[in-house]
Amino acid sequence: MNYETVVGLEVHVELSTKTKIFCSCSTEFGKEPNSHCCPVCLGMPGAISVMNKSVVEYATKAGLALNCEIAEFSRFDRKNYFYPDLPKSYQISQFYIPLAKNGYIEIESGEKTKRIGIMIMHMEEDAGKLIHEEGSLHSLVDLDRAGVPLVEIVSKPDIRSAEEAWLYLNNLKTILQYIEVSDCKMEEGSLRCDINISLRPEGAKEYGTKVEVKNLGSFRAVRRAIEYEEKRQREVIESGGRITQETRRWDEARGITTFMRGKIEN
Amino acid sequence: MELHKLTVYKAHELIKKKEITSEELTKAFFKRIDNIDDKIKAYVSLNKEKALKTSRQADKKADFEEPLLGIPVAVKDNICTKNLRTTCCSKMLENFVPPYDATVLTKLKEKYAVILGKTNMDEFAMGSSTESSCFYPTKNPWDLDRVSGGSSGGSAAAVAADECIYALGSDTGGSVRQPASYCGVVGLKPTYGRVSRFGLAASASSMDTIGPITKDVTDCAFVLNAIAGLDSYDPTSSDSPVPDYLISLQTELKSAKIGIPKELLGDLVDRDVKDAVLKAADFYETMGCHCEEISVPHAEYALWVYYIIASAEASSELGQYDGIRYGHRAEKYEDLQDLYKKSRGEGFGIEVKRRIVLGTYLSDDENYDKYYSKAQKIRTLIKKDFEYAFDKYDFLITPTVPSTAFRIGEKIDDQLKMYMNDLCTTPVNLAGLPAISIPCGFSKGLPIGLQIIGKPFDEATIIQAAYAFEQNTDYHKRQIEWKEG
Repeated sequence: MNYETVVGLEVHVELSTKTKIFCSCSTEFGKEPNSHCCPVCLGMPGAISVMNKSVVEYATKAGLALNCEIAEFSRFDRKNYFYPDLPKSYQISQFYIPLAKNGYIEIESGEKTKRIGIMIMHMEEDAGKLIHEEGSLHSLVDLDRAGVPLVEIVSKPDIRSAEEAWLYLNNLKTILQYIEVSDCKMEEGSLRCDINISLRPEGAKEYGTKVEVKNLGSFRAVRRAIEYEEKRQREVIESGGRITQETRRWDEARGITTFMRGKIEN
Repeated sequence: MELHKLTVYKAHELIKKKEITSEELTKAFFKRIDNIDDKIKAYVSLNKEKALKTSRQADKKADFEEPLLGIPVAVKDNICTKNLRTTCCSKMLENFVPPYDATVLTKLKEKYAVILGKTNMDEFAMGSSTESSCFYPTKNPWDLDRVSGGSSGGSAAAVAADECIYALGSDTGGSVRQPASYCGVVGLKPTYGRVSRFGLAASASSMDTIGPITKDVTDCAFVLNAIAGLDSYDPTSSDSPVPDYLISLQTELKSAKIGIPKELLGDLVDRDVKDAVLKAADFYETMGCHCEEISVPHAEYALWVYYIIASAEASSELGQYDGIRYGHRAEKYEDLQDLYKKSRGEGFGIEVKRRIVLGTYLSDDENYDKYYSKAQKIRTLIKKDFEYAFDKYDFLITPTVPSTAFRIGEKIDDQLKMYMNDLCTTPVNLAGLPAISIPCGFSKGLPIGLQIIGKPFDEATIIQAAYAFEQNTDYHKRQIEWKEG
């Protein structure tokens, strides 16, 4: 039986505005921990998030460059959960009315030009960083990154191979760098990518069960992870097993994905 | 002359004429607080040293045209005061000292207002009696066995007992107006967006407001002038121009059309309160106005819609109190989950926990459409009811509270009974409208409040209506009879 690989990519891109998305703290990278913070991005009593206009401008530019429809009316929503890198205990993101949708990136796949669809692109704020030191009983919280502006770009599941994924990411990076909204450095964290991958019998219309893969540090890692997952999932199916919806972690050193957590009801 | 009995207007006149100094005035208030706050318990923190320092600075300033210069004020403890402990009367923030001022404080400090201290409140503004404060309940100066109302009970009692000249409170469901009504003073809830919320610890961001509590309507106009206006730190604040509210201090009402919503004057309202409100309607008729019973049909659901929305919003707003960056953190915990559970379990009181749990439930995936979403839709209907009413009427009058102050301990174990206090005030918050409460009578020696509701950003009209009533009646002049001992 021949199987078709179906991949969607979720990419988070840090916008290179001078200040954070909801306050006037600097977004400058690599400074002393907790030196770019204020009552707003620290989630202190009475502090209120205020929209940074240039974030909307940068995000709109990105949406247009990705051939999206830009919403005339767009809104922010709260994602409430508890974690030490999330100062307000909610992330301000966009759920119901994102800034942009229905775009595409073109890639040259073999002889042909193929369009990889973009489902949505929305704005959101980044969380802080947790630092776990070897042998320590506690973790350290650095909130310099909390409130840095992000756009999340969710592709349609139009990607069919590791090669196509690699081309998509490269073109995305080139476009966003060209319009100067981000430096797209995956190694520095200004571009992050999660993979959603499933297999289905060639010619089938329905999608198979998808697996999410996280912890990818480079475009090469994305390519290798897709190749690994294709093989792993095929082996599971061909031995009579079933793919469960789960989140897996890419282990760069060993070149494999490992189980991270089960299905989260969304 | 008993300095603590002065109003903003009178104190300003005397300071201008150099008959008194701000320092004398400030000292008089700390003496007054020393004398009686043991009985009233209006304050939770005092700011004596800095207050006296500011009063001396105020005395040096030549700018005696500024009416609030050197005038002592009490601030509700959910409004952040830089370097002065701000607790929201919760163990969660028992030792929290903000490194920033709320915008309203910045504005008052520019005028050398003298901050006497922070006043008592229901924990995180959740309550109608100040009984849920983590410290102690505040007594009603008119009857020390009774509540001062809530959640701004400390501020209202401090004004009524002459422990400050004026105070700031916050109003999300009636928390400025209801205690003002119970304590026989003036309390104004401005239009949502009229006064900056920056620095007010949020309970429900779509309804929270900061408002003045004062001895009379004139003072209320002075304070509102000082605190109203656009603020770049609060994106929900309005750029609608701020008029001079002193211009509204006139008694000519020019045959205004007044609506009396029947849903807020029904069976749940005490007989005495109803009579006082109807008597006020008669007064307005003698002034040449025309009063009519009207219907705000969805107001019937307002109380429940309010509690659904307020609880849901509070469950989100209070998420930031997690023991990680500031505030109470449990001393012993096994892991991250345990840290959260213990810190929040120890830090929050029972009413706050109750509302967080309720709010989380009402807005979770399963119940979102059933409760929260539906409540927001009914809220829109309530807002439209008011819009329709304001097409025809200039302002509306209702009781502020269905009854007068109840006894301490009487309602604390019956949540539904407690929530019923907010019957007449919550519709106003849901619709974002301005409203003022003024004394309009007494029942068995306890003050009754009249609520005047206005169009959005029309504080001018309700201040004028309030002033006209006040200037032709005596209720605001009645003195508390302090029992000896």
